[in-house]
Amino acid sequence: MMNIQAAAFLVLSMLAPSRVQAAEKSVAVSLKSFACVAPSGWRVERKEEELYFSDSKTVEGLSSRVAIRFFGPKQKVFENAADYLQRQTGPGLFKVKGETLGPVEKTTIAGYPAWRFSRDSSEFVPPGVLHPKEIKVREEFVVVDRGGGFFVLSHRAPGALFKKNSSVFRKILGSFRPL
Amino acid sequence: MRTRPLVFFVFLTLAAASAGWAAPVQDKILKDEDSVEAARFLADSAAQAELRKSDETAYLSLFRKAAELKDVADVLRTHDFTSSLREALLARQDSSLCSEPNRLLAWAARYNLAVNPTALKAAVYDWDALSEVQRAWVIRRGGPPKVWGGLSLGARHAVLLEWAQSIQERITKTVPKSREEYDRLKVEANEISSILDGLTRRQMTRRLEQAQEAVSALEEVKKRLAVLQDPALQGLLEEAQSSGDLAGMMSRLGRVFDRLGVAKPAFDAARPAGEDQKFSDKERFLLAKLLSGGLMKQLEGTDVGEDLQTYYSRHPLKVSVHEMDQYIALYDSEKNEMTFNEIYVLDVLKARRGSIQGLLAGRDGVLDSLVMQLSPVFVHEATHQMQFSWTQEKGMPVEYGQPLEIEAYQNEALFMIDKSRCNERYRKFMEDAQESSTLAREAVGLAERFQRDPAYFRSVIVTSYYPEKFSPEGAAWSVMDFSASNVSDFEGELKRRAALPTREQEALRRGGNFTPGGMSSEQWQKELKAVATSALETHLARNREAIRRRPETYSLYRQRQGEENRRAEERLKKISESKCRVRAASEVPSPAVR
Repeated sequence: MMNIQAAAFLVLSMLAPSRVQAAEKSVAVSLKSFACVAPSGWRVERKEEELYFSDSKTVEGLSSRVAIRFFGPKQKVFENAADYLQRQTGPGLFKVKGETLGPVEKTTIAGYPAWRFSRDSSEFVPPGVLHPKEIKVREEFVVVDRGGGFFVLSHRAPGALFKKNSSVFRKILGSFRPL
Repeated sequence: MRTRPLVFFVFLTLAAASAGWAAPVQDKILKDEDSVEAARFLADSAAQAELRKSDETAYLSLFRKAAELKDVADVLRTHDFTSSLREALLARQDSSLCSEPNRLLAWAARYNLAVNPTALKAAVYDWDALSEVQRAWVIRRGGPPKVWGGLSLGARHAVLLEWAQSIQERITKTVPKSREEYDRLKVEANEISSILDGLTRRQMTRRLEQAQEAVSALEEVKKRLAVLQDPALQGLLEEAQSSGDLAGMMSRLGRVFDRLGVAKPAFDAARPAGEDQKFSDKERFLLAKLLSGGLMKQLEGTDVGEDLQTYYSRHPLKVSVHEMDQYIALYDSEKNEMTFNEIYVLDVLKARRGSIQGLLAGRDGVLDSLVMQLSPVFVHEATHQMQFSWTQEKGMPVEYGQPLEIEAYQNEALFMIDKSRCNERYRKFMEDAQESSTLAREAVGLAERFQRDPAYFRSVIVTSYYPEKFSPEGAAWSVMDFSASNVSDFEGELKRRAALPTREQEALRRGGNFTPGGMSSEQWQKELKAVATSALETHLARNREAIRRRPETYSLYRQRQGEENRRAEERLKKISESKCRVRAASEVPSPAVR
């Protein structure tokens, strides 16, 4: 595993709130609750304790988007990682037309217990019209339970871009460190 | 509508620049146009109070600029589709950042603001992003790339809108008779859809939906008649094939299906209404009564619904049924009335092959199905009425921007979740209705998204549903600009009058008031010179006050947004944890649109 603190990257420690940076080369990003390496050439945006990376390549206007969100102990939306997982993967009230959920797999991220699952669905572009083009979209979620809060790392992209950018998501996961 | 010159705020900007307070921050906002500093300033009530105390004019100027920067930056950060991004930028043409494409691209690049730079270039019709056909059109209209680069977004849009409208007109006039012909129209429609305004786009897509149904029906009728050898039906098929208008073609194909006893719900919903499917005013009135009673009953047993029932015990519920261009339902705060679109009602009715008399008599469960399908939309519009009452209590203008729409969608989703958890009949109905009703598909999808992750749900509402709606910051700067332009007009006219001979001044004192509602720039200028001087003075004072009070109004909207988001999340938690109070019978009707 790579030691993010010792990596010979440009370190953007504690990005300013909502500050956006262009990552010309791999960039180590450090927030209060976690650190990771941003992919080269991807747009990096921080919103409080959330980090978003997006690729400029698009399919029908949809790009690859990686999000890292921290749900701390003070937030009241989810009880814990298990609750988040249950809401995402448990039986919903409705079966949504055109959605399929993959199996939930146990894994380990940065030494913490984690769960991984994926969901296939459709996005209709352009949105808001009666005859949009249907684009198959895949999302992969990794829920990392740190105890006293949890992280959700997700990658969402049109099918064609998803496969291509899977290795980028893997690298982000590999560099991810709860702080 | 009136144009809004920026004279007043040019002055204010200079005033702010000369104030001594926190000059580096002011420079970052006013000169560097730094949206991060702008957001910090808007969130810092202590800094705002300090500046306001020392120099109110400078404060208002800085507040306005900060609101504009945050608003436009949020647009670029949020929208990753060309169409929604363009719609959002076109709605903000009073912002020089949004109206000057090259300046916008440079600003977005400098601060790396665009979530999708490719979509942004396409949204502002950058030369590199135009198709060959579009470039050829632009050149024919006298705009080589160099000239094009200097045009405003509005001017570029006008040129390409003309191109898109010429194609849209052709699509609307074409009656496709084969799948290939229909597919070609669809490809053309997709090429122009991001340029058309929302209403025209919806009209075009509705027409294409009908065309698709017509072509599918034609294919099926041909197959069926190939084995039937019925001369009368063959005659109808030939008439359909030679028909020059879509309604005529569908009407004849419908008659073939009727004679064969074949039910085609999607086709039936799209075909022209029959004689027993045309509303009279009296029938519209009766349906409105039935809907309001039925929808109020649907609210029972849900938290959000009970809030609304309490609200309506103190406020009137006025419901009407009328034809509207694009919405399924609409709350009009000026009339204090909720309107349901009769086109939607007719689609449901036609799909069930029902008659208006049958609907009003409650036959075949059509009314019941209609009420259930419309219930989430009713909650949405009723929330807008409650919001209007709130603004009235606070003495401020109602602005149905992003926060109020998100709140209405949250209530709609909470209602769906609460109702469906404890009412299997309702849940099963809405789930099954996804197969044929876009309204049900939308309501079910939103309810599931909200349950899974409320923050994600909110982001989808902004990007997918209301690209043209303003954020609280957007409402702040645009209303300040609008009021400032009014102030400038009133001051100018009062100055002109002061220089007139006494007799003319006396005559103008006896003039009337402005015509209520919106008006053209010409009418505005005409009325400005004719209304009573006292009316000018009153409106001048009101507009100055509107500018002065805008930071408080902004703060109240932001506060409500935060409170409502928290409340919705707490409610979701409570609903998930609580036991059902009412469990309805498990009988499941078939969905209205089948």
